[in-house]
Parts: sequence; structure tokens; C-alpha cells
Amino acid sequence: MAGSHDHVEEALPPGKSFADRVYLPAVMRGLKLTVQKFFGTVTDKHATVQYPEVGIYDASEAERAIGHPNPRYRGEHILVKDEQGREKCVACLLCMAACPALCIHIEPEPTPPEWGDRERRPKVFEIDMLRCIYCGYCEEACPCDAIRLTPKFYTPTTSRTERVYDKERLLENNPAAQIPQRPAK
Amino acid sequence: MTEFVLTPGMIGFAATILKALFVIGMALQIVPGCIYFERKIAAYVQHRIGPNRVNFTIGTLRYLMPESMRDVIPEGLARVKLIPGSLQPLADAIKLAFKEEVIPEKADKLLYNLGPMLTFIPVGTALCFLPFGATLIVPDANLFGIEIQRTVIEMSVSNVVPGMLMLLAVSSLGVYGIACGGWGSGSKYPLMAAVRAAAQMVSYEVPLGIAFLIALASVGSLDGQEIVRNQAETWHGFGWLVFRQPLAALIFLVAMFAENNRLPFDLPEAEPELVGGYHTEYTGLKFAIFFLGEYCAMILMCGLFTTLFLGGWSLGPIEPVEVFGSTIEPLITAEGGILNVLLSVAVFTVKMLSVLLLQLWIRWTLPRFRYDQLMDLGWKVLTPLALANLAITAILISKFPNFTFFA
Amino acid sequence: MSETTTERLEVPFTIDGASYTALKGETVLEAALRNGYFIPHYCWHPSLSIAGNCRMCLVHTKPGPPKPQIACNTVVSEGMEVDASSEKTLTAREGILEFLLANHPLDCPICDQAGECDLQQYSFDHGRTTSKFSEIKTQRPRHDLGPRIRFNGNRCILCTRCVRFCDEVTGTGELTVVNRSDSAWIDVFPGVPLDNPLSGCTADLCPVGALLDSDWIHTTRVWLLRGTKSVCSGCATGCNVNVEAFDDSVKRMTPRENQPVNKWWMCDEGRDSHREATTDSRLNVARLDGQPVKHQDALEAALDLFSATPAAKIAYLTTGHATCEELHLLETITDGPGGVNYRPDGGAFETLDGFKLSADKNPNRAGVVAVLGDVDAGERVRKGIESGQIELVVVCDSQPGGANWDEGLVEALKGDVKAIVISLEDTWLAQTKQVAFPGLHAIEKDGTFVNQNGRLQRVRAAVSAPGDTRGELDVLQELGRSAGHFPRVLSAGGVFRRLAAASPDAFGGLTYRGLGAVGLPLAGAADQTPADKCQTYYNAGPVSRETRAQDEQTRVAVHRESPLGYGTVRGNV
Repeated sequence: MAGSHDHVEEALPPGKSFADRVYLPAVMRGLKLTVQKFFGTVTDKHATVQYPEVGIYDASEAERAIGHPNPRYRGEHILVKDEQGREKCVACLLCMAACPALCIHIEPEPTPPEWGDRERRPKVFEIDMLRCIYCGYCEEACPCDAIRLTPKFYTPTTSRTERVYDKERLLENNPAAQIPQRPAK
Repeated sequence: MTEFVLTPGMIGFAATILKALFVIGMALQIVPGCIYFERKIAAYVQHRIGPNRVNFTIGTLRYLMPESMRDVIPEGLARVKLIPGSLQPLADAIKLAFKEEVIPEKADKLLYNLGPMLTFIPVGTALCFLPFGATLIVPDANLFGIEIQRTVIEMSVSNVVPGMLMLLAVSSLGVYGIACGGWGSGSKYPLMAAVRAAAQMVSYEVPLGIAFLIALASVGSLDGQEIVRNQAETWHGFGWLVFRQPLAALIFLVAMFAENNRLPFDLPEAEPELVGGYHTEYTGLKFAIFFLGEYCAMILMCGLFTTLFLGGWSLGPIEPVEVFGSTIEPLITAEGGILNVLLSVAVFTVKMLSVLLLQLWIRWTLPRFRYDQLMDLGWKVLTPLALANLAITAILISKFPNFTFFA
Repeated sequence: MSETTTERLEVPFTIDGASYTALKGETVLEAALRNGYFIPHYCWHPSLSIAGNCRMCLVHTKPGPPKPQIACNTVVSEGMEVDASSEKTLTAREGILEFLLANHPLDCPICDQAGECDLQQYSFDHGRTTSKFSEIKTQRPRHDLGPRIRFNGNRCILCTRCVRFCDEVTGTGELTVVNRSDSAWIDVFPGVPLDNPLSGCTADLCPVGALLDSDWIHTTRVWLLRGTKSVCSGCATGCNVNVEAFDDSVKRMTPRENQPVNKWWMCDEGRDSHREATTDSRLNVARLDGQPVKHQDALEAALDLFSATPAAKIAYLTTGHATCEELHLLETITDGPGGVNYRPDGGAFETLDGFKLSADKNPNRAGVVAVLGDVDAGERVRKGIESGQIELVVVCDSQPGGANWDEGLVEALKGDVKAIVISLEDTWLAQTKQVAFPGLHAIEKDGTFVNQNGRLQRVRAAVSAPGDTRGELDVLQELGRSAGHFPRVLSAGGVFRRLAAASPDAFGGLTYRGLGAVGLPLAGAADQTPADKCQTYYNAGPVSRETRAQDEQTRVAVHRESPLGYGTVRGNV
């Protein structure tokens, strides 16, 4: 069965018998195993995903909706909005502190007076996606559930500056719309 | 009209050039194939696919056709790949050729540039002494008014008598290339790798040489052709030394892996510890030449093993033998016409490639040795075993001068 | 903290079984802190009267009543056994924290005290994970108490430190507690805003986020700040400050304790002094005949000018903002007369506990006297220019806003006399004279200032200067080197070594490194407090700053250094 580990043989500590000490029987067993694997791959299915076709061009509708075959994949960030469409972020800078790659840059500002429920919001919220290692610590550090990692991964750009996402882009980061169609030949 | 005479000297000279071109061409052609199969085997052993993107498709044939006929090949068929990934080595070579040559600032320029050359030159030289086919005899003939005199052409580029000794001597120089490259790079990892490589290759040179000696002693000749003939004449053509001297063959095989820096003995280029080993600082074509030299060394060693222990180019007896009352005619004779020679070369190539396949197979099976284990195996196991084997062989030969070993 | 320490009797007592000695009349909390044993506390502060209303410092004592007592108001008796960490005491402490947190909002993410909050730290050390309080929390007002202080009533734990500060230290008494019980809060009297010159200290004193400096809130977080131990350049008091910066820009300045200089306090004006470095009027390029050029081009022109003029025909002008090192260099490289401009006097203030805010707004007036001796306001320079004896003037003007030279001197300078100007501001001199270099503000440069009482203190660079600014020291030394006064360009410490060798009367025996965090007195100065007497054993600072809610493990990544460069007495909890 492709991708399973049923055939994995546990490596035993070397024994004391003559056969163990000359290695050769073990070497033979190893050669047998690899040749079995070899022909197993020739006849059976392999574990490789043929990336641009599978996962991008031949993605299912469900995969397109969440942006990745695996919903737990950690891809690009999204800034979550509250019921009124405002960002939930209160600019506490904890994600900035938690970030091991130092890719988050936030400048806080006081909220407009009509926002009764909180005092502070981010004036600038930038994530350098080139620096980001997609560890998800920011998501864990956030006390307001304001930043999340989506499964969005297909994000080629033509310049480095485009990879620095500002607040507006992070608020509108939509994983559903990411997967492109197969380019015409 | 004066007749033009082709003397044996002239024919031999021309043949030497052709043989040299053949040998180097074969070696250089086997290397990309070897790389491709290495990657494929690795992938299949690991449940992967391996290179499968760079290749010709059936649709490629359209470019050979006139424009009006291109629609003959339907779209579906045109996408079918011809040996998936088969052009990957070519792509790699093109990439390497167009890479920027970076010479590190602290590099010793002379040694740095000498490194790749010194890896490749000894291997290329040693290939000259490898007998890869049966002897060709050009008969007296008169072709289109040109008189051809009878010439004996030995199927090795250089036909010196102690050819095997020369081969051993020259191929050992390969360690200088690695040492120069490692030292000349002016960097720590290559230096450590070079030291490792030097120690390893010198250590395994000993059992390798002794196993070599055992083979030579058993045969009683330093001439490559003679070694092959001896094996083909003994035991009805199956007196291969791998049967007559199995321990020596095993020792040679193990030492061969170590000499080639192949897994499980690839400590000089241990990626996890030494980044890339002695070629860490090399880019582009210099790196490619290192790579090429390494693979050619593999081919050389496999060829040597074939010659010494697998009966070289012979397949069965080379003279008519009588088995249970019936006479068996040889498939390949020691000397003969062009067909005989071509068959012998093919046999040699197949045998050599089988050993090469074994090398690849072993590589993806066994993990790397630790350095102390490597040294223990070389000095405490292989060397004493080889010495004992040599001693016994020598005693038997000296006690029974007419006794062909085990024959 | 008292002058009669050595005369007091020592009283043996134990905390958690370990033997310590207290001074007679000392409270348990004071004795414990002095011995390096930390007992949590909010409302107690060494400079303020004992209020005993936070109940955080509860300990059990023997002899004593069976119920816990507050350590801050229990005097140590001979042989007293203090129990500060038994199960019983910790339970009491946990109960107190639960009461304090009952009405405290959980808004740490938007609270600017987070990271240096005592409540946060003690909750972390002693508090419960969950709250049993399920009722609705009381709502108290949130408004500005004064131009500088923003009050958030919900966060207040009513320790009354700020109230006592205004009563006992500034003596202005603006603050009071209004209402009772859980609806009590801190407020000002109607029509009397909290606007005394030290109002910023109430925010420093506040152990929680109830009083915050409105100048600083919502800008960054404390754990991002990198502190530099420096000296305020606002006035001749020379308050010891921590210049806290993030991303190469100063976010705030907070006081450091230095008893003979500034106690625990600093004035609001000083807190704002770092803004002088970020004004639009600053000079941030070198100028050659008024035109912006590269530093190197300007330097070459200046060297030509300098070497073409004999030293006797070079005068210098400087200000009370120049460091001692710059003054020494000016004096060394010129042979002509010198003149100094001082900023006019401003408001003075003296607190009830003896902290003097000087009317003299020049941080280094005493340094000018010590290094240059008797110099006038530029009269001799003017005469020299007018008589033609002076051909070149080196102007070193680090005064924020630019120096106000005397009218006669201005007229003289407007003439043909050449000038090499090193200026903080883009003054008319920088724009019109031959060569001008940008200068450094005190938060950007290294050097020493002498305060009004003759204490020599180090200024340290906290942030880098804008643009291609090399600073006074560099330019003056380049000039001096070209004229052969010294072989090579040195750092401020190296120049100080030359200065100490040149003026052994005032600076003899002092080393740059030896000045440390609190400075050393000059010979014959009014203030002769040795360095080890400058800070009290309470290690209190402006108190809440010394407790850091940020644990070592949570201070990750960006925190190159502790945001607060000075001590903490944590470690035994």
C-alpha cells in the first residue's frame, strides 16, 4: 500500500553471533528489502504527489474552497473581522513578540471615539511572507483570535515587495480564491 | 602504380586512437545513464517516482515531421513520455555548464583548479589498461588496392605487459585530486573531508592491493588478457576468480566501495556532517568534473572487478572443451574476427554494468559507517583476512608449482 | 534609607528559618528587601508614608497574632520569626490577589502596563488560574487626570501611591480617593488638573495600568523597549534616566534612582526632552557654503580651512549643552579665545523630599567651568573678530533650538570671518557659513555632563543619529588630528582619558568606565556621595518598573536585552 509503513522493519541492536558480527547476513537482508521495495514501487502506487497537476490543476471543488487538500495546512495569514467588519486585532503586539522570524510589524493607534468596545487597533499591520516560517505561533499568541493561518499556499508573486502583506491585504486574504486554472498551452 | 602498404605499426596506431576514443566515449556515456538510474533506483527503493519531467514525448517527433503531417499524432498520444526523466542528466549538465564559476577568496587558486583535474586524469589514464575485449586479428588482405598486413590488436588502449600493475598504480593517484580540492578550497569542511578521504583511501588501498595480488598470484600473470584467458580456460570457462578466490573477491568488492567513496563508505562527502565534503566550494563545470571523475572511477573499479574476478570479457570456455564426451565449441574465442570481438566487448560491458548496478543497489540499502567503524573494518578485518588469504595462496603455489590454483 | 544607618542597633531575626539582621526600628518589609529577600508589595514605597492598604505583603510573625500581618508596617523585634513562604502565608497572599483581581479587567493585551505590571507578575507568581468571581465587575470612570496622565478606573487597585506622591513629595495634593468601597476611584478635585511638574512620576509609581503616561500609551510595548542608562539633558539637575527605545527611536524616558541627584523622580519636561532630537528644524546633512554635501566633502573643506589658519587665529564658540569631551577638544585644537552661550533660566521646583529641579536649563554649565575655566559669553571672540585677529571660528552648538548669541557677536559673525559649524539645529550659521556639520543630541551621543552639584555623569547613545551625522567628537578630532594635536580619533572614553590627564585638578583620578551608572563627584564638588550610596537597598527605582511581568522564557525573539536595564530583587518565590 502506497505511503504506509507496514513494511518498515525495526532495526535491532547488533547481536553477538558470528553471523551478526560479519554483517553479511544483515546486508543480504537489507538488499532483499530494498529490492522488494523497488519492485513494490514499480508495481504498486507510489507516495509522490504530482504537484502542479494534483493539488492545483486537478483540485476538487472542496479542495478549492479551503485552498488546500489538507485543511490543517499552515499557509498564509488572515486577519479576522468581527461582526461589524472591523478587524478584531487590538494591536497588543503579542504575535510580534511570539514571532521567531521577526516578520510581523505592527504600529498601534487609538481607535476612533465611536468604537466603544476597545481602545486600540493596528494602524500598520505588516507580515513579511518571505520571512515567515509559517510556524503558527502568532495564531497561538493572539488573545483575540484576530490572526489565523489559512491553508492558502499558492501565492506566487513577481516581486519581493508584493510579499509584504499590509493590513488591507491580510483582512481580505481569501484562501478560497487562490487555486488557478490550468494555463492554456 | 605503387601499392600502398598498411603495416602493423600503422594499423596499431590507428587502432589505439580508435580504442582510446571508444573507451573514453563509453565511460562518458555511461556516467549520465548511471546518474539517471541511480536517481530512479533511489526513488523506487524509497517509494517515490524520481525524475520524470525532462524527457522527449511522442509529440517531440512532430518536430521531425513536415508541418502538414503533424496532426497524424493525436494529442493524447503526443503527451506520452519516452522514458520519463531520461533527459534529466542532460538538463543537469546544461545547468552546471551555465553556472557561475565561484572561486572562494581564501582558496589556493592553483590547488583549487588542480583538484578536479587530478581526480579525472588518473581515472582516465587507468581506463587505458583495462582489457575490454578479445584480441582482434586483422588478416593479410588486399582491399581496393591497399595491402593490409596481419596485425594483432589487443582490446585495451595500452597494451603494456604489467598493465594491471600500472592500473593499480595510476588509479591510486585519484586521492590527490580530492586532497588538493579539499585543501585548496580554503574552507573547513572540504579540508576535513579531504583528510578523511585521504585516510580512508590509503587505508583501503591496502586490502584492495592485497586482494589484487591474490588474483594475480592465482593467475600468475600481470597481463590483463592473460588473466581473462586463464579464467576462461579453467573449469570449462567458469574458473572465474570469484569462485576460486571468493574471500579475495569479497575483500576487493568492499575495498572498492571505499575507494570510490560510495555508500556505505561515503564519509568524505557526508552531507549531514561536512555539507558537501571536498567539493563544497566547487560550482559549475569544476564540480561537474569532480562528479564525472567520481563516476568514472566507479566504472573503472567495476571494470577491474569484472576483469579480475568475473572472467572479464569471456563467456564460457574460449577453447573447445570436452564435457561428458561431447565437445563444446566456444562462443567467444581468445582471438578472432570482428564479430567475436564485438561479442566479447558486449559481454564485458554487461558484466561491468551489473557490478555497477550492485553498487547503486548497495548504496540505497546500507547506511553510512561511523569513522571508527570504517577504520576498524579496513585495518582490523579486511587487511588481516587478505594477508592470510595471500599467505595461504602463496604457500599452495610455491608447494605445488604446477598446480593452477583450485583447478 | 537613612544617614544614621551605622549608628543604629542591629536586631537579629529570621525569615523562613534563615537568619538575618534588621536595624532597630526597621519594618519587616524593609529589612527583608535590604537583605535581598523579596516580599511582594504594591502600596509601600521607600519615599512614601506607609499606607498598608494593599495587604499584599502579608506574613506570619512569631511573636505576633495568629492571623497574618502586613510586613510593611510591622517593626522587627529581636528574635522575630517571619514566615513569608509557608503554605498558610501563600494562601493568604493568593486570597488577597483574588480580591484585587475581582474587579480588575482582563485587558492585558491592550494595557500598556503589561510587561511591567506588578499585578501581572504577582498573579503569575501567586495567583489562581481561574476566578471564583462570577458577578459583574464594577465599572469605574476612564478619563484624563491632567495633560499627561490618563486614568483607567477599572484597573485601579487603590494602593494610593499616586495620592501620597502628590501629598508627600510634590506637596501639590491634586489627587484624592473619591467614593467608598468597590466604587472608589482616584480623581482630581474639580478644576484642578494633575499638572505639577512631576506628574509623570505618578504613572511610574502606579503598580498597575490605572495611571498611564498619555504621551506613551498605544505606541509600543514595554518588552520591546531597550533601555540605555543615560542622563537627562533638560536641566542642570542631571536626572539619571533610562532612555527606552525601540526600532531606533526613543519611545520614552523613565527615571533611574540616584539619591543625591534625582531620588526616584524626574520632571515632565525632562521626559519630553528626547523630542528635541526629532524636530523638523534639525540639521541632518553636512553643508558647504550652505549647500548640502556629503560628509567627506565637507570634512575635506573643513580640514583645508583649518590647516590654512594658524591656531592662534582660531576661536571657538560653544554652549552649555556640549559634553566635557567636546569642550576639551575645542580648547585643545584652538589657541584663540572662546565663548559659551547658555540657555535662559526656566522654572525651578523643589519637592518636599529634597529633589531639586534646577532653573538652569544647561546640563553642563558646571562642566564648562570645570573644563574651560573662566569663559565669557563671546565678548572676547567678538573683539577678536572685529580687530581682525580671529579669522576662523569653530562653532559647536548642541543647544536644542540653537544658541542665542549676543547681538554684537551675531553682527561680528555675519562679517567676513570664516566658520566651521557643528550644529544640532539648522541655524543661520549653518546655512550661511563655510562648512557645517550636523551635531548630535544627548540621546545620540556618548560623553559626560557635570550636574549642578558637581557630579560627573555619563550620557550614553540610545539611538543612532539621523542621516550622515558623525557628531561633534568625530569632526573636532579630525580637525585636531590634521593639525597634529593628537595621533588618532578616539571614542568618548579615549577623549575623557586625555581630558583627565589635561585637567588633573578637577578630573584627576576619574576614569570613564569608573563612572558607572550613577556617576562620580568631581574634586571639590558640593555633592560628594560615593557611588555605592546612590541607590537604596530597596532597589526600588520608580518601583513598579523593577518588577517585570515578562518572565525570562516569554521574553523571546525581539528582546535583545532587558527593557529595564537595572536590578530586580526577584528570585526567592
